[in-house]
Amino acid sequence: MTAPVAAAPDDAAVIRQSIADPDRFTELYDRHAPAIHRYAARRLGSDAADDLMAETFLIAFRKRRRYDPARADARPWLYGIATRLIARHRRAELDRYRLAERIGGQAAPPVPAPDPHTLHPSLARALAELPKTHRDALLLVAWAELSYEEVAAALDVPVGTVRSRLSRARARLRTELTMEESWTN
Amino acid sequence: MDELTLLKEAAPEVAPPTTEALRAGRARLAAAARPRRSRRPLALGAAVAAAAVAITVVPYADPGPTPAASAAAVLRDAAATAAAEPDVRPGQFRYVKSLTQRRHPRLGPSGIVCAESWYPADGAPVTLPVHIAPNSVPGGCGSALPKPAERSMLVYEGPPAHPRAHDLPTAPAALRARLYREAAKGPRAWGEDPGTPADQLVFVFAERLLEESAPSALRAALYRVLAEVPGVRLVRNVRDLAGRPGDAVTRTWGAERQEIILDRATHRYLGGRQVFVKPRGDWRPGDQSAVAQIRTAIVGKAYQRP
Repeated sequence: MTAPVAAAPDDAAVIRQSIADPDRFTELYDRHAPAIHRYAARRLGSDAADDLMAETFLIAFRKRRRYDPARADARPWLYGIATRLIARHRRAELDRYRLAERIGGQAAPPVPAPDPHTLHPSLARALAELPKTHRDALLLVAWAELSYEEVAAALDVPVGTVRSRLSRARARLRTELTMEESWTN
Repeated sequence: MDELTLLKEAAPEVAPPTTEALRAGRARLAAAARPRRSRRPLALGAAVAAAAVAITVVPYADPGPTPAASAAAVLRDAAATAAAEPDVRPGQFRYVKSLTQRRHPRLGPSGIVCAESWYPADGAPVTLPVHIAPNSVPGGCGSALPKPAERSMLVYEGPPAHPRAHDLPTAPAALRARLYREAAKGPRAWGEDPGTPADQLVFVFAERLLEESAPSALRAALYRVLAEVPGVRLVRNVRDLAGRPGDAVTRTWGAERQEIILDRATHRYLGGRQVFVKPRGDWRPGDQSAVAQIRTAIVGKAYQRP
């Protein structure tokens, strides 16, 4: 008779176990570090992402006792920590958008810039001009692929607040992109 | 396509974390998770330091209390030098070759990037022809210029970082009044931190205008305006990013010192630098970014080298 296969413990279980057995927390890292890195790299570039990935988990480890055990998925919690860390790099993030904006070529792709992973200039400008809270909410949806409810958990605000920030951010984006279109036509 | 879908699809293509980065991050976490034999839990800071990459701290000069008169004297000299420089005539371009370096709070300095720019006579172009040599080292601008279809432009749109050169008066008193009026729009209008005082904004305007090739009469007037801005200090015996000896005219507010670096002998403009003098977020004292203009010339058209 085969032994029953236990389902892998969810994030909440791993975190709970890590309170008494700290080493177990590295399992959370193994599960989610690449996703955090990807989000950080998109916003700040690869150089800063390595560090930010590590810092996110160090902070998460320190806060693990206060983790809400009802949340089976730790990603919103981790993305929330990462987002607050990204805020400390605000200048670097805006510089990156400005650099992307400035390197933007016209019809042909531009000469490779120091950092090739840049945004389309009009998007870069639109993002740079959003208030930080709107940008965070928008990019957690667009680039971290969280649901509105998960964004609310990540940013520790009510879902209604997330909806209104999203809708304002999207409206601004729409305006910017429409203006850009009419300018180039 | 709606804007959210557009944004999703426009997410920058990024490489996944390297094995080394993943391993290093995990090691830092493991170090934090394993208390030492003494049973005292490792302070998070200690865990980070134990695994940190060696960081070079660049010593920075503390200006100390220098008489404003020395800064003013250097600035008057700079104004005289600038006024005597040849100007670009309509149809010509000012060619500027510069080196730039930024510094990440913990990963240290970025590479030195070499950029060549072509500024038209009336300044403040909407699109500025520029060639940025990838993976640059000093002299990296010697790489072949791109073909017309592959050229980059610096697009001057979005929140301005300073008032446009072509709109500014060149009589010092009028310029001063105008710059303070622009500063009165508030730091946010210029992408600066809330609370930045007008004097600092005016200094920063001047620093940026000088970096972007203003006409000689405007440069001279900017130096004269700076000679009367309170809080401007002189730091002698500095070296710019290209290693050239200079004097720096500086103003500090908040965590950063802004610097305009002038040639030691002639007080010709060499470049600019922003240095953190206090911790701010992850920035540490000594972290800086800098630009050095290493060659300027007048040429007949964009993408022409002197």
